[in-house]
Amino acid sequence: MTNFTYDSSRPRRTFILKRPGGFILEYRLLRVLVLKDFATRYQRSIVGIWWALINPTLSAVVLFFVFHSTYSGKFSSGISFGPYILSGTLVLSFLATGIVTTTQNLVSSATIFTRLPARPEIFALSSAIVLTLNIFMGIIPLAVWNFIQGGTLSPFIFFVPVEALLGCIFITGLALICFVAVVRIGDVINVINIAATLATYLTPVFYPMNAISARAQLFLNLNPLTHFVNIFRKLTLNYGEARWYDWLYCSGSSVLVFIIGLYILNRTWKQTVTLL
Amino acid sequence: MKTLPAIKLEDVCFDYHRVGNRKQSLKNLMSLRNESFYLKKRVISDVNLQIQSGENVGLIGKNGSGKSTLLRIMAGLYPPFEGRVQVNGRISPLMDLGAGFHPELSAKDNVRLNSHLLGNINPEIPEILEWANLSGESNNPIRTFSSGMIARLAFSIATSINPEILLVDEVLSVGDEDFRKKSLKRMRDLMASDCTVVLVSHDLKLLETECSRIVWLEKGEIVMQGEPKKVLSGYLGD
Repeated sequence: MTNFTYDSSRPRRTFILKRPGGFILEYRLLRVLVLKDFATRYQRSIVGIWWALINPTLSAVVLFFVFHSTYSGKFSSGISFGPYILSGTLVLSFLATGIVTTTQNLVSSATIFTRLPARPEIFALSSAIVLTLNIFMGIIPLAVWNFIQGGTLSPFIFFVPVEALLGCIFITGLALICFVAVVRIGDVINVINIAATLATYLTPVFYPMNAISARAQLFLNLNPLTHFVNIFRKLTLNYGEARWYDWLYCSGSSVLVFIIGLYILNRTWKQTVTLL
Repeated sequence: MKTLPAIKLEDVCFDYHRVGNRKQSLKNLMSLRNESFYLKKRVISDVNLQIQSGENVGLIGKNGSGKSTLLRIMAGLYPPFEGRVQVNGRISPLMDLGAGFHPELSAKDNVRLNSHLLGNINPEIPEILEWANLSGESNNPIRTFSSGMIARLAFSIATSINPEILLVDEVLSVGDEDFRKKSLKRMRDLMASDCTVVLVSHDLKLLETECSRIVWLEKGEIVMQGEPKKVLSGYLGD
């Protein structure tokens, strides 16, 4: 043998691709963690996965009830207000709630990282992957509501997994950044919760874009969640125009946030691990 | 070709970062003036240690002397702040029996999860459960297990991966006499093979009989190392 299997002078890497079989090991571990997260989160509750849909569906119903008379007239393309809101709350509950949930999962797994050779990146990714089930299952009530309102599902619906994958990357990156912050200052988790709530209002979930000023529209377009919602509505309800710009903005911001998250984790790991 | 040592530590230093007397909050962070939010405490200082492949080494020292931290540094869990750590071989760290277990998952699923965390993607689940005397409990969630049952399961998983380096932190004191005997036998089998074992324990008799070398740590520094009898008499006379 000529090389050490572990050398602390080497920089910390996210994927141990250099080790023989490293990628397979990471993939198999990810699969086991996803199954574990799924089992512990949903299998043992009476209504299982449907718990995850109660919050976005009820939010959509209440928002529909309150804002129906205000915004319904703003839609000219035949879209119904109910499915419009539900599609928005589904994406928001996946992304905004996903970031908070994944951060909390990482914090609660902290003791594992100091006792076993486990990597927070894999834990974050598995948590995000399990949350995509909310999106996929959410299509069922969305389709039902849309059908009741006389609509049909979009032929582009088969591209939803692509968007879900981008969402996973986005959640993982942001959750890693939040994790590093929460480990240092505990009450940052409250700031993250507030930010998640604010993001809900800064995304066209229950109001159409044409109901707000041009200046506000410009501001909302800077929010990646707006583009995630736009794409989801196009893919499920065939509503609006998910232009190449939306896809580019979603992909770009997801990859960027992911890279920044990994970079921050790797750079700060030496200190972070002593604070766990 | 010259064989590489199993573990090589060169001038290794490690600091713990702890929030000072203040609460770890945003308010306190903002109220800081010229003082640091975190207090650094050096727990390992300039440790130089080389452990050859197949060697069985014991780590002794008082509580807080840095034994467990040094073991975690060897396992690659704590990167050193200064110096260099090099390890050659598949490590199995046995730091805290039950770390990585999920109370809601069954014994079988926990074996699968924990083995993957240790890098074993094809665990022999029936054999692992059988060694731990838990074959009949494979589908029960481990929240229903006693601490002794969890200890048996964790030890069985950690030693099932045929580690080249086994790092054991005071875990043999957990569990009943049967577990102690059984786990000691398995550890002896590993020691008799090419496995390198680093054992942290307050059981000095165990260390004297099982280890070929003992390292005595005090305040994060190596005070003495060498032949067990000599080091232990120095330690007990201290």
